[in-house]
Amino acid sequence: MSESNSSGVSPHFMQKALDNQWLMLAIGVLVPMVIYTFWGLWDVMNVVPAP
Amino acid sequence: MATTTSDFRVDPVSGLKIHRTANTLVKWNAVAAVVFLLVGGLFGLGVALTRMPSVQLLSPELFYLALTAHGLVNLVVWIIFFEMAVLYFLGAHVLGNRIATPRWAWAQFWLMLVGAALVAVAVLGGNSSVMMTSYPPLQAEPHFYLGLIIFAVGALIGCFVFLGTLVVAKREKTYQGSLPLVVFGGVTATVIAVFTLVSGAMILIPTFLWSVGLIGYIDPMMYRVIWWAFGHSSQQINVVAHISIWYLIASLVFGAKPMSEKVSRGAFLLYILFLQLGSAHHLLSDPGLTSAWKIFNTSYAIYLAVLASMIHGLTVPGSIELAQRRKGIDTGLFTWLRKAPWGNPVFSGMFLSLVGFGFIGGVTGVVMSVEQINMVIHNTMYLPGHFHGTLVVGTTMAFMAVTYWLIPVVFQRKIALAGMAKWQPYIFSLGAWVFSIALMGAGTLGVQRRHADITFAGQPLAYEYPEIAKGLMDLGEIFGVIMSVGAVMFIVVVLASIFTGERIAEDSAPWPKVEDADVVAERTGKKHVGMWGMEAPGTFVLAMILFATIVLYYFVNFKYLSTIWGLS
Repeated sequence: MSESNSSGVSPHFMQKALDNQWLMLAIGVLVPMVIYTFWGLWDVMNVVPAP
Repeated sequence: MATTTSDFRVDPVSGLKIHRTANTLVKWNAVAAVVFLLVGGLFGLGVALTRMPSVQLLSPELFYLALTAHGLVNLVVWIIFFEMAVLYFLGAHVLGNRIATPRWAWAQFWLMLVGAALVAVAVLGGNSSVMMTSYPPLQAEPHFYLGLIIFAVGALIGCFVFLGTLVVAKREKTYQGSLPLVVFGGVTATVIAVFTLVSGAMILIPTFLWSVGLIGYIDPMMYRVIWWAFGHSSQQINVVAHISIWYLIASLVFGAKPMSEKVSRGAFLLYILFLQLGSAHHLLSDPGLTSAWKIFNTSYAIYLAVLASMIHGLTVPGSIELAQRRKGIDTGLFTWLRKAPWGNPVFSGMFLSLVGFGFIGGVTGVVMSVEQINMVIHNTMYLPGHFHGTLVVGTTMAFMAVTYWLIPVVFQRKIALAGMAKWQPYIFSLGAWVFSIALMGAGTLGVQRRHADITFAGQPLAYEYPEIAKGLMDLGEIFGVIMSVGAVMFIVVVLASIFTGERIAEDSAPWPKVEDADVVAERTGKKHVGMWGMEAPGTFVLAMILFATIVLYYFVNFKYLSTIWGLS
């Protein structure tokens, strides 16, 4: 199911990042919240009302 | 929390150290899921037999009630209960770990059950037939929204119990190095689930307050933006969960390892960053959103998630091919596939899920996310066709497949009715594949979704669709009935196995031992496998067929678009 890196060599920084589930949680919530939700709501709020 | 040896048992085949409390939670969540699959499936059958122009079983009132119940139960309740079982299995069983905070885990189960029951009462009462999307100004009864909120809170608790379980595993050193890939897949599903549930809270709490009169107005456009962050992302949790299950089954049945674990992890990271943005494709015809928002989300960001799906779609069969070749089946392009255990529903279900998800759900999902092509099929039967191609053909089939493996390991019962179990994936997939394709065909011809009677007979806006569209609807719904038969077969096998299956002693093996492909290759001294300088040439050919299908289907749809918009 997996390769384990138990050789004692310090893992690559990217591997360390991927192993941090709280970091994954933060970016996984923040990125779509900004790019999809907030940007989308901004668009809707800036719809010019019909005269 | 102190644990004793008796809190665990060891599965003799997989070597999994199974925490008994976690195992009980896996069982209860899985059983609840299967019961809800049955309930939702019955409503789905009613929907299918009503949409069949030659049958039209239910009255419009009952049709909308059944459609609301079917959507919520099969798209949300069955799937999320099963995902809770999968998360506890991954966090506790795969890591040989105890579950963190069992009381909170039980709170997850009961809150989700109470929430689902409240929604059921509201829907069956007949005054909340607002369908799964419940767009304002349609208003359901307050306990409809309250039930969804309670269900979502329960699921959110389950997500944090899983994350807490990973913390416990790391602290108690039940694994070394990085999380196993399938558990990382579970983390990815959990991250998407948290975003989904937070989005659900953002929109369902104000909608609940609106339903009890504390808020005067919900802006429909804002509702749609936030609701789809909940509604579509909830289905992305499924995609990640079933892909994790593909990896798991490849490992369990073949002793396979991912072709490149780093690449697979990178693909899961692309999901974490971009998969949820696909929600935007539901809003491609909404006027309040800018083209920049639509195009960035659907035609740029989502392609990075599609890239991730293609990586998984390549690496899972690739890892199976590699394992088969290393074990000596190293002739021809597809001998490894021909000699795979097609009579084992764990494998056949998983592989049908993989191929069907790629060719039906995946290809159509990519194409319909293009803003221009989306105009052809938006709000048509194409949509139900597509998402049955992902959630039924892909997710549900994968969940069924892994259930056949889990019953002996988790419930310690042999699979009852083995003959029925062997055929079930084929019957279910045959029904689901043709159902999805036929509905997409009807949708391409313009047949609208969400209507009890596609002809609008007797209405001022009556419209005569081509006969082929009606034929496709009939064909699709006939295969919908076949799909339902496949689902009933699954439920019968599961319940018969759990309640009447032969008991497996704790120290005996529920499945034959599967040797690690690398170990076999080392023993036989087989260093090089494959042909044409590739280790997995068969998978390469399959991947090329998928690419060609996407390109062809893409251009066919643009050609079709050009006939609808007669530009000179």
